[in-house]
Amino acid sequence: MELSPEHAIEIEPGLKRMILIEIIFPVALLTLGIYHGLMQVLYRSGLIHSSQFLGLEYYQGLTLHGVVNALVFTTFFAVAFGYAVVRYYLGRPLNMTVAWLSFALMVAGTLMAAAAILTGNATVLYTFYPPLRAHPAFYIGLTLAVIGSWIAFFNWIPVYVAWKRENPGRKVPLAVVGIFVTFIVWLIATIPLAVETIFLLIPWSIGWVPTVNVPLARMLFWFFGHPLVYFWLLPTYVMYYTMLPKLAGGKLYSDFAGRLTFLWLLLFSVPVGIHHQFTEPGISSTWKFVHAFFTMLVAIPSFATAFTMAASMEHGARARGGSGLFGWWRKLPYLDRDRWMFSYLFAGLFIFIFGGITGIVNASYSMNNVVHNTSWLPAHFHQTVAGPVFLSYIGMSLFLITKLTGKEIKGKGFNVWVPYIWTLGIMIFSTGLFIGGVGGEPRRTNMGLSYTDPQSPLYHVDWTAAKILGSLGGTIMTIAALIYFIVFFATLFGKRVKQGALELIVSEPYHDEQIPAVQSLTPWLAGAVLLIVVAYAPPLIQTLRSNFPGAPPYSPDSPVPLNLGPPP
Amino acid sequence: MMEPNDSKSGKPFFPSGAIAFFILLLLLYAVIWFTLYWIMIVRS
Amino acid sequence: MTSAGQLERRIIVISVAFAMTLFALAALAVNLYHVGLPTCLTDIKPFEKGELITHSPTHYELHYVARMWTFEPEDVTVPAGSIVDIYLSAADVTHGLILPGTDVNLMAVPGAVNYARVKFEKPRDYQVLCHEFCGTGHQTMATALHVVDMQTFRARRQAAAVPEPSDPGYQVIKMKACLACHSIDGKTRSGPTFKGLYGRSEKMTDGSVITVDDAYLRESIHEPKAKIVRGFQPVMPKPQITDADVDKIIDYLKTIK
Repeated sequence: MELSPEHAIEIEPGLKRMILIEIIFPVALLTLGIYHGLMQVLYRSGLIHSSQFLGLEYYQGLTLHGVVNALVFTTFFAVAFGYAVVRYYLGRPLNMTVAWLSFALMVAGTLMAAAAILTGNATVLYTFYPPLRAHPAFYIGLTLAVIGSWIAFFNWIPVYVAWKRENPGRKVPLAVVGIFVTFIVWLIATIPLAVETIFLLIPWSIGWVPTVNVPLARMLFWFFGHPLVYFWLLPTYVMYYTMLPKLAGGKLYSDFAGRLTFLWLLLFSVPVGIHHQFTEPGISSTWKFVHAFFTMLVAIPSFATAFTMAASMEHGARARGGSGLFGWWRKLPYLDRDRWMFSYLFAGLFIFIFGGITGIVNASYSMNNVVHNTSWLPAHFHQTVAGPVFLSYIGMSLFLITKLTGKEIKGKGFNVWVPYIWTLGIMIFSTGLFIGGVGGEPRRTNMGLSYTDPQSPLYHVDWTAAKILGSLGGTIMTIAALIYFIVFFATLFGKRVKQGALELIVSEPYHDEQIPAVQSLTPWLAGAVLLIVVAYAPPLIQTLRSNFPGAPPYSPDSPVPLNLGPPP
Repeated sequence: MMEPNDSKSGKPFFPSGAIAFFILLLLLYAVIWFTLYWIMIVRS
Repeated sequence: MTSAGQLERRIIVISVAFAMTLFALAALAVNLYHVGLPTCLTDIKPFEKGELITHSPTHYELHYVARMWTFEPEDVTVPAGSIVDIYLSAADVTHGLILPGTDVNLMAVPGAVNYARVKFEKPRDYQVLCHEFCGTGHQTMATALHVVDMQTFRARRQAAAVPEPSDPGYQVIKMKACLACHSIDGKTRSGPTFKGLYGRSEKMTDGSVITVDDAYLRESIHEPKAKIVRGFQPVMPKPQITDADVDKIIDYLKTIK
């Protein structure tokens, strides 16, 4: 991709090496996560009637799939991409001692959690719902990885402050605003997660305290769990606003829309978590209603993004000779091998059309009864996190690898098709899961042992067709991922053709509005804190006051509670 | 350099296609949402 | 000419109007169609006993206990036209309860009691499923709920409920939570049923055929993964159990044919 070679900058070898490892390490782990994605559709569809396959138990593999794909891969990528954006746009070297400390914590934490999962000691899924208990190494590992990602962010703050001082009155580059919002949301969201692991789960899983307050632990988890999805989505929005218009051959239709989107997400990402707990006891329906209201508002910037991206692509398409109300859609570089990043971003946007509306359905208060915890939910979040987020992340990983190592992409013709094959797969997969979900098909269930096993008394004939679509789509997705992995590693091990440098795709704004309301982070951050207090203080106080009896730890294998303390 | 965003007539760019797309998007959303709403009511 | 900023603002106003319309309709459904969300109940504490309580011939209270990996009570029957208040308590870990075909969708969270009201208009057999991961037996956690016409309902009520066995072997089985996977009434759960097990010939995963006797039962309790009956998974954990209790279990199994 030779869009802006003049924009390449030399960076410090240490930082370059670190960004490379922070991309290669999670992509390598992703092979394992995707392998178990495939296995899951095979189990669920009833093609495998077993509790395990090749030494990996179903729920153990499901935990691995969630932790690797949704927590590890995303966090590593966001940190690596954050370094790239901060270094590229703010033009200053970073403190490498701090950077390596962050890196070491993230890698060590990930390996600890992975060891606990692979040895079968943390089969609690990535939402780690107590009172199912994992080995302390699982909670400690994930906590360390999160703290490592905080340190990476803290390292960028002085660079940002110095840039502001040297450039008074200048707008902060849009990509930098996006990355800072990403990590502010992450910091806010991971505090309750750290509270949950440090004060509730770790002491309990070691055996220092006998019981855990389950409703409290769940509320803290979802305090984290929904902003988590915006932490995933925000780097993708950075790519949409700052790269997609250029790739389409045009300009970003409105700089204001980009800034407002990021700041709006800062404001509303957190006070929405209870929409994951709509069907739970112990929470007043009043607060469920408040969170449902805020959830509707957090959808607004995605509407604005859908319009702004269409307008920016239309701008590019018309510059390329497109015409008519809809005819211009034909003039986009869908299969341009040299602008292959377009295909990764565009395909994700397409998938997100469906991820968006299904999310609104989930959030629509009473309508959650129709879909909660059914296979509708994984279909929805695969159209978001495994759609725009995943495709933009793997695309940008490949892009950064080629630029930083100075290598030519291998298999360009195959590469440009990866997102479209993935899209085909995910649309088929999700259709199956949506249909099954509306019929009550449960998520997170090894259905091959019961509901899709004709030998079982629980056999559910209605879900068979849905399962065939699920496994067909899942297989197509795996094929796309396989092609990607081949391209990625062939490129990585290919020959260097030029000096490696840091380069990003930079779109210019078509309208570069000067609107003061979106120039400063601070008032938006203050608003976000206020909304969090309003939305979370009362239900948290209610949960603490309710004195719910605590629960002892359980192994997933047995209905008898574990005895972790000294024998009586 | 000629502004690439200006059409041959010299008029500034107006995203009429994006507006049309956005209207269709809202229609699609309404159809999907009301389908689920209807299912909920039928089951109540 | 509209500037981009003005146009973007219009898009945002339209989006807010759109989202708020949907939200208002969803909220209205609570009053119009009685599909609400559970709230925080303070007047009922978690319970350990599942039961169907009759308030009137058309109004029932159904206390479900979710535990690894069964619902109690099992196979509930209610008459068509009745209103059922479902209360749900989790006895061990977090579970879910979904009643496909209705709007009943609840989480069972240890420490708190959940609630939903449902009206059954017509006779129909429902399947009640656990839809939250609750351990390795999760996929078999399901039970039936039968809605029958009033006549059938009265006839079934006549057939008295079977009282819980008082056999000491049954008490061991209950205490050691064997019932999570092994039924005593012939139902298939994650493990083979105990009903008629003693003396039965079972085909093993390695192809051999074994007649269930004292020695086999003793081995299967102490070393659950030594021999696996075909059609089942090697998922049973090793229990901590005394030889005396094992003998009680074996004596009890001889009595349920």
